[in-house]
Amino acid sequence: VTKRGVLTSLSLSCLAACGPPAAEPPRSEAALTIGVMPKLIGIDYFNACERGAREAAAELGLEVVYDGPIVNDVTKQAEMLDAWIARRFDVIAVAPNDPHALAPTLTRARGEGLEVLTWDADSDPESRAYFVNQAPARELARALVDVMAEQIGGDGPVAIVTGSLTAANQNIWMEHMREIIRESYPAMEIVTVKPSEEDQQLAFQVTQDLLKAQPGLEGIFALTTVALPGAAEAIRQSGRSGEIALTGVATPNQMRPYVIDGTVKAFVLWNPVDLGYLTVYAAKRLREEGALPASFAAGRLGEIAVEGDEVLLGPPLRFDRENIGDFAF
Amino acid sequence: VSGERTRHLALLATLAALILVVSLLSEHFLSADNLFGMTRHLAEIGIVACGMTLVLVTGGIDLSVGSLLALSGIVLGYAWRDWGIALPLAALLALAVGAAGGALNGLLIARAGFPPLVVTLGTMALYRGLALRISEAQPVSGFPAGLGWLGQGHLGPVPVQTLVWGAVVIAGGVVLHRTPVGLFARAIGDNPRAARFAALPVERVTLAIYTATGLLAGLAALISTARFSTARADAGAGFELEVITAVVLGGTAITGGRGTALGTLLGVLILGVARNGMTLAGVEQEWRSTLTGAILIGAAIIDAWAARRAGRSRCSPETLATREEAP
Repeated sequence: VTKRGVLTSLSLSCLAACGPPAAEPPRSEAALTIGVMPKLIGIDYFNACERGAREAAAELGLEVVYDGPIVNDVTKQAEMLDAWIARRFDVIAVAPNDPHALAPTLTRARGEGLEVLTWDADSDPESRAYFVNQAPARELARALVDVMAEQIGGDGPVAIVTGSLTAANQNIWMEHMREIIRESYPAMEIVTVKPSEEDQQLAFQVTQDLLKAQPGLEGIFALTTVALPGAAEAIRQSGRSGEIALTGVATPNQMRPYVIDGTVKAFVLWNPVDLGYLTVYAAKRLREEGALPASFAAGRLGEIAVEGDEVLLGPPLRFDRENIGDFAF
Repeated sequence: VSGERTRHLALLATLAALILVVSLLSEHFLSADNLFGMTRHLAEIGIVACGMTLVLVTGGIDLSVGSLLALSGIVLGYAWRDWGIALPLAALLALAVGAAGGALNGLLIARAGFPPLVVTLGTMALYRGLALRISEAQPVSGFPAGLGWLGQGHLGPVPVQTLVWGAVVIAGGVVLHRTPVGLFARAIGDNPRAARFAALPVERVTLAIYTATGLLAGLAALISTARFSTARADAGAGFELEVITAVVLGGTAITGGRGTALGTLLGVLILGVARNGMTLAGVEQEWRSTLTGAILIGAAIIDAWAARRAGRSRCSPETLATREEAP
């Protein structure tokens, strides 16, 4: 009775062993291993970050493990991070899905002698050494509001489609956007904020609902790289391209068709390839020196400034019909 | 009973083989740090799985446990931070919310007679909605260290929640295998009409089992909140499916009547080792879900085979007589 059970389970486990392409990669003694964890894998934005991280790894001769959960779930991140701690990575660089929830895990990692960075989104400052900040919130908010004001003439009702209502980045941007609107465009009014949960289909639906429920709406901000293409598709399908001003953050690859057909005139983003690239450069420097200087050389990005405990990627880029052809991410 | 033993041995063999493969793939797997670290992430699933086993044994299902975990956690957070309730009382309140949520499921199923799938699909949305409503989707964090101990502390090398999980497994095993409640649960799952005609307390047992499962979801919420020092309204998304997967993997029949506490424990461990092992071995995410699916289907095949074996031996006249004997 049991012999066959054992055989079946063994063959089952063989399946588990033979299926995946890679066993634990061999580690040479000298090379650093850096674990880079996005909020989730499988979306354009974080794929672009991965390309940059791998590019830097090749230049610096170190090993990068780039992996994360398939949904933006902080508990899955914690579980994977614990396995990375057990694997004794040299540096962990993570984009947390919650501003506080990973702090216990990251603090444990530091206690075990791993260096910890955050990138893309931050955790409690005492739980990491540095935050690689892709765009100071103020500058990004300014760029977004300016693009919108250009198109709707600085006044009128606008709506926001955000990520989850708890997303730290988007909430800080919205705070700054409100401030900038108050100061520079007091006649522009944010009438509603809708969540889209990093789900393009939901963003599509939310935008459709907005178009129906708010007939006088003049513009929409879509604040995640998943929300903007979803919103653009909804506006295009409703036949109101060019009538409703739409802007936000996304990658040029996602937005190319909508920029060409005029649904989106301009949008804003930092370069995610550069963000992944810079994160790996900062990780190596941190491991070697235990701290970062006021500025340091990061390969093709040149000198990068460090302000306090934040590594700054630089001002955001503005993409429109003129320049979108120059970017391939 | 011989079917149960076959099934347990098959599960044990699967677990042992999995451990062997994973420890060959990664030198880090068999370290005490990693093994205890793994249980830290499994405790919440393992605890609720004990209740879910009983639920499935009665022929029911509870899809609301993930949402109830979120709701209990949010109540804990808001009671402590905004409603001025001392943390220990807030924790009791969170447990009470879990039990109340479970009791509502139980009442609708046992008293009103609605199908468990429909009821708990509804309460799954209801409890999640309440959690979002109360919190306005804002997480609560910054809990004092006293709570953190439950999710981050250790007794010796063993994480605190692992011990809690162990205690719940033992309690669940006793209820399922050594008390009338377990016996009645199996009778209800085997044939609910016959159970009613036999004047078994079907309503009371069903109500008690769903209430206990809700209470365990509340307990899991305390641990989860302590582990992250954060309560989130989106906590436990997909949790119910992880729990049900582990329970079914452990040989509990989705159609009711059959299931063991030991099987469920093994089911949770197999899933946990597979997940931890795949991360340690650097298996890419894209593969992980595929492999988990393969393991599940493989287990279903083993289970069907074990059931057939047991069924054949059961049909001989001498075993037929003792078939429904209490364990």
